[in-house]
Amino acid sequence: MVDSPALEPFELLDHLPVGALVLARDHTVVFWNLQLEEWTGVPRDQIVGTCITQRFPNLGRPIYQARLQGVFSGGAPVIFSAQLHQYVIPIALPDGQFRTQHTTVTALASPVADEFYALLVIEDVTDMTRRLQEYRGLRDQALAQARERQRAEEAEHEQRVLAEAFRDIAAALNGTLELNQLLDEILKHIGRVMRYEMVNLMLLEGDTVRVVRSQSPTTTGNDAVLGLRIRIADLPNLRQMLELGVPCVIPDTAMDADWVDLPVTRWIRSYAGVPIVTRQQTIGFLTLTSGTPNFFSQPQAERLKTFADQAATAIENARLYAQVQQLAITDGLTNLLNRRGLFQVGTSEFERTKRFQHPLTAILLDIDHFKSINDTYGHAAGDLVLVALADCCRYNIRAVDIAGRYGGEEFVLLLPETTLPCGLQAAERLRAAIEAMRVPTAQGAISITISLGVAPFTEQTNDLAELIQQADRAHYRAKQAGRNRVVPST
Amino acid sequence: MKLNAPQLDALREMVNIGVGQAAGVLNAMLASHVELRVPIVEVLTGAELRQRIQSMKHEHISAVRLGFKGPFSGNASLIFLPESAAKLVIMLTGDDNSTLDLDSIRIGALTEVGNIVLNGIMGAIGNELKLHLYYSVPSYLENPADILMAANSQAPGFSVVWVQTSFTVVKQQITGDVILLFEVGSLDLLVQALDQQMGV
Repeated sequence: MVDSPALEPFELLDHLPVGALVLARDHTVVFWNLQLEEWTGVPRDQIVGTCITQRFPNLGRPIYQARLQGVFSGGAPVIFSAQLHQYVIPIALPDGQFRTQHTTVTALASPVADEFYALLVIEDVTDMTRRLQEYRGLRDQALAQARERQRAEEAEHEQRVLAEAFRDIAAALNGTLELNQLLDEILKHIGRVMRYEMVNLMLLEGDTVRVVRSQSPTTTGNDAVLGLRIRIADLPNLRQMLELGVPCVIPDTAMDADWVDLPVTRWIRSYAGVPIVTRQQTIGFLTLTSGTPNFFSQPQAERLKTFADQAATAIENARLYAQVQQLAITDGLTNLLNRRGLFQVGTSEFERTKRFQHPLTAILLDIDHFKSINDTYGHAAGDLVLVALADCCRYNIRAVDIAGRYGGEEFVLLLPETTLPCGLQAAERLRAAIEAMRVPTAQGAISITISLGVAPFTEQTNDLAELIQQADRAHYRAKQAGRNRVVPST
Repeated sequence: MKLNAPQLDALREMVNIGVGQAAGVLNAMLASHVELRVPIVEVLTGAELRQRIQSMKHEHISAVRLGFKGPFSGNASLIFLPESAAKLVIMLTGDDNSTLDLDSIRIGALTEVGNIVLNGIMGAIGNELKLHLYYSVPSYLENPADILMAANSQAPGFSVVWVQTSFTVVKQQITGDVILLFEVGSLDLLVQALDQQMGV
């Protein structure tokens, strides 16, 4: 019978797929397994019996020493994780990197009582760690791409929303030609383009601006600003916008040397304003304010500018439209209302009179012997006479009264809130004024007289035409009675 | 079973020594100064422990457990609350938040921290009580059922020592809490050892 060769006490460790190393307290290598031989190229017989720190000084570092001490006294196992140490025994790989190691150290009984060996079991986690790093790289890349995509989508979405808003705004602003309505629409829509705490819309009038609209969803007391007239010269921010035609952003009014601190603006900490410019002419300003510093940015101001440009065109159109409207009802020679204007403006006054049963008196007048004036002095002189008469009428009536050229040399005055006796007085005053008037012409001064018929509104008067007709009848009687006089309809 | 005040003090003292050693090891490993403090040491029954652990969001807690055998046997566990675990991993690995979900990094780092703290405390207890204990290899637990295993013990008179440990990394102004659970089959043996050590 042949004795099988005696097994070395630690030889079992050669059969494990891990690096295994047994150390005595004095760091003498007691065992070095085959896996470590293979990894390090250091044969067992060269290292066993030597001090481990001779070949691997790394293990002599205090962070290892301190923790291994307990193990040599039979203390609890010690773990050196790959995450915090990377390796315990430096083992270079062909690519120059080191094997990543997860090391568990446990106490093993030694031949000396109460003395223990330390068994270092070293797992190679290089591949796992690398794969993990690759995975992490891929994941970070994917995350970065996803974030980038999301940013792009958000930016695109924002652009789309903005474009939509501007399209709606254009439609809304072009939908009305009435200036007051338009100003309301501007205020209504600005919130779709910009956030703000208060918005003011100002129109330029000479060297001042007038606040025509002011709105504040959050701050009270915007009435303090509405209707306010401000001299451009007094506010540097307005002056700058007027001169340069570009937006003005004040991120923090407290840091702005030029900011004018008024009682009504004291709460403002951030400001964005744009000039409203049409055909190279600044016609007003749109200003947004906030009580929070850095509320407005330059890109937002650019957006506000786009909005203001749309508003500018709409305001311009509304103003042109109003001008055309005015022209259509104005008599070109006398600047009084023409017949159409007289009926347009007069009818609404008549309706009001009728609805509230208030007094209203109509006067119809014409120039006596106007034809002979034309024949004698020519049509140019005749026109001068008509203009002088119109001016005299305007001068002798109240602002609420309505004056219009009814026909060639016939004029109509409508006097609201005026009874027949008062109307007669007014007519007589006018007659006397005309009689006293001298119209200077190339052919010398001309005197004229007028005949006036006066008719009051009564419950039986159906419409304006009827009222004027009654005044016309009285006027006819005035002519019959010898001209240059006032005759009532009743 | 309750510990009397001198016994609790003795236990707190041992835990403090152990935590101090662990802090020394962590300081050596990190460039930052780490302070560990033990504000609370108490003895809980199984029911009390169950309640405590359930009041944490235990689906996110993890633990490192070290088993020991000898004159008295049991487990010491270090329980990481999610927020503290994240802070510790950032501090130890210098990794930013984006990679914290990588389990193996978290597990490796937390296991080692747990190992350091538990070894410090067990070493101190073993030394002070002059006991020799045999240890198993520490394990990392994430499964709530495993972590709660101790709390589910139905053994009569079962009790655990609950040690709340606060860590502060001075330079990075990081603070957090970890819980050390010390379960022994019977506290009687621990109490005996404590009494012997105090010379009662």
